[in-house]
Amino acid sequence: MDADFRVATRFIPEYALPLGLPNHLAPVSISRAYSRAARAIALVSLSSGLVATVAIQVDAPQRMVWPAGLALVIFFAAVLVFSSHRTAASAAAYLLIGGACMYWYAITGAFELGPTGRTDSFLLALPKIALIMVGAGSAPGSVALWAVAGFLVGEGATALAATQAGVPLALDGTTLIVLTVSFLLVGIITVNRRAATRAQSTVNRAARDEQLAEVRVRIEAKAAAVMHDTVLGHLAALAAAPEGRLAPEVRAQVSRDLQVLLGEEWLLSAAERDTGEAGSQWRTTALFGAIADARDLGLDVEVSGDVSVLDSVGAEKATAIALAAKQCLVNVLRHSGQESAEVVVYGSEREVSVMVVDGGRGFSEAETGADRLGLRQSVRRRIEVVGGDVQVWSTPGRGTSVMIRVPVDVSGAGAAAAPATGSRHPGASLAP
Amino acid sequence: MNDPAPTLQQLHPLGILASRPLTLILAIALPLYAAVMTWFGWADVSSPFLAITAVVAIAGSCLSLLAWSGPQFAPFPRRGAIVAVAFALAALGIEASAGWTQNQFIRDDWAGPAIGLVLIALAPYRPPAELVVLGAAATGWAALVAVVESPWFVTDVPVPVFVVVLCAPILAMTLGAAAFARSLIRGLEKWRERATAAVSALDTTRTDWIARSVQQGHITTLNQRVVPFFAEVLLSDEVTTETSARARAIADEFRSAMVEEVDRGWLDGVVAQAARGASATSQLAPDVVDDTWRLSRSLGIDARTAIRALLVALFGHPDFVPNSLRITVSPDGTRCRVVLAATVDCSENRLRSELAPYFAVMRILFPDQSVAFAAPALRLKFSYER
Repeated sequence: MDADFRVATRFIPEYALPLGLPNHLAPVSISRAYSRAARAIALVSLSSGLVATVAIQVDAPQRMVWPAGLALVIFFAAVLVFSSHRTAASAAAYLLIGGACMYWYAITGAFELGPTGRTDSFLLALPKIALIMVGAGSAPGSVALWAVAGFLVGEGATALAATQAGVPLALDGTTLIVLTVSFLLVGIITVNRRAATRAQSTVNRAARDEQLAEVRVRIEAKAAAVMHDTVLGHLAALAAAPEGRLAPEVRAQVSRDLQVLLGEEWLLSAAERDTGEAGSQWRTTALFGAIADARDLGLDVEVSGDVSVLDSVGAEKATAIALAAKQCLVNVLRHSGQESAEVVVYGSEREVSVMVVDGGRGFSEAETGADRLGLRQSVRRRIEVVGGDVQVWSTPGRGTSVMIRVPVDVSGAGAAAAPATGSRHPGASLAP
Repeated sequence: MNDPAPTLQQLHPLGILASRPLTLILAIALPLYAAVMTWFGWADVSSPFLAITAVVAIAGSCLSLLAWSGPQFAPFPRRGAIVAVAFALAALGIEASAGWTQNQFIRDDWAGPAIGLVLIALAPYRPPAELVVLGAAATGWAALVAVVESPWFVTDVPVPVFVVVLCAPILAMTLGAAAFARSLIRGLEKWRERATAAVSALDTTRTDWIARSVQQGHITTLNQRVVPFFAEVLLSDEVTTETSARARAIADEFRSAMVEEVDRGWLDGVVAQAARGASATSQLAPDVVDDTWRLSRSLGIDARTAIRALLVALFGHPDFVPNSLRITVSPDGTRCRVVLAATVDCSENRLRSELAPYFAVMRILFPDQSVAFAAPALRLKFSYER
């Protein structure tokens, strides 16, 4: 294994996904996210108020501030119950209960808590912030309106309590700033999201086009491999055939493949629609069928390793492995000068490996130009489209080893190798 | 994308690019807010130098935010977030030092809310868990500062109340920012799951439709020479010298066509499709794509989508000159280097504003992307791991 002709191209079969949210989902997602953020802020505000209340009560047991703490506990519960629904009814209930708790908090303790009995104290601002953070509404405009409603309820409850307690009213700068910042955040996100709409559409369209291109590439690769295995194989056989009567087996294969290629939907084969229901016995696998075909051509093939690992790949991968291995065996027969080859099958939890080894004349990369299509299409590309890779080690005069590796299916059990009979791919019937 | 946890910027680059003005406004408003609050609380300042230094520190935090949130530096690095928060924490400490023994009311201190706003500004760019960690560190620091300052506050409340007053804005905004980012990230991930399911459901139909189209193309090709030849051979039932020669000639021709098709890389197809969409196929140069090793096939699906979107946008640009486009993909160790050169006959401002969203998406997927524009020559370079 002196020379490593591994070509570092790896085809990754996967589905294209859109980068970012589609435009129609963005407003809902943003308002939901705003609601989650509002709930977090409300809970922290109320918790902070509660901690402060407890600290004051512990510090001065003679003061009656614990009822204010109780109001915050009820408000906290209301946040948990109502803020997750985001309907108008639950938001109204939130404001109603929150407003009542606000009044209770203010009248029973907050003015006691505050340093000078002012309505703009920070401790009084905390539940008012929780009211602003009602977080309802499914569009930016309604989100802003609910926030204003929360602000008004908070200020109204405070004003009522202050009037009853005889405390002078003062403009609460903290809650005003919170309300303004909320408006700014929602407004800017909304306005600028519209600016991104056009580019987002282009990206999403590109994602869809990429999906289609992905599918087409996979199918084109399969078609090319089939063409190589059938049409080119038959042409090569005819070009090399001795003069005289057409060999019966060549005649039969040409007739059969032409019939299939022109008359059936050969690209919609069973391999394309992987049902994962094929048998798991070695003799029913596609690889066994491929090896049998190679033996029919006169190649002595020895199989070793653990063939049961083929059960861990689905029909599509099993077919790809079989057809690629068969092309390798055909190459041995055509180019190696040997009439024997070894196929070693082994696997791990992550992949199935099939190695085709011969002790023939080998080749160098430069010599593969004229016939490179076989290795490229029928082996490498065929394996790459099912997510695997192929490594070739060959040294002139010392033989060739081709390693085919395919990842096992995630579903694992239940995926089974494709049957060798009954639904054989047209390419599998080729005997060049 | 070195960070394991996803960020909004990575999952929704266009949306985050669109909300960058929010970062800009915050970056301008925060130092202004700090300056105004310092001015109104000047009576509480014992060291004017430190008071001004605190404002400078928060300006430094904002500058860090502004710099690293630019599309040319995307994705926003973790060190950027650490630097921005460190500047803000320094501002808090310096502000406290500036009012040493004279600061009477902790509620008038601006640094606590400023730290919270810095963390809100970071929400689009960093993972929620990281925001929580940074916020927790900031809260701890603020609690320490509040305890140290507490002896000279005039309000008659226990020390924990001062801690609450200083820490509550930081904690609330931290958790609010993290919840906002987490909700949007989850929404994006759910959308991806739904899209995957939808794609899988459509796959069989789509595969059948494309397979028939591909098969029809091959049958058309076969019908031209191969089928008549095989029919002739089967009918005559014999192989002659002439038969072998024709078989060889047809095989060579067929193989050449297949090799040409195989050699046509993914990038060729995308350029051709984008050109068709802009009715510019005839204006393309013959050697648009140089991808000898077909390295573009090793691109991931998101990366391919981003490149396709950029090319479509480029072909849709009124000042783009189609025959100037050249794309080279070359190996460089374990990476592939891509250079896109094109002529776009417009001002740099216009080019950058119109193609900025696409460059931003590309930047997320190719962090080393560089865009150079010396009117009218555009040169875009990036690389990716094979």
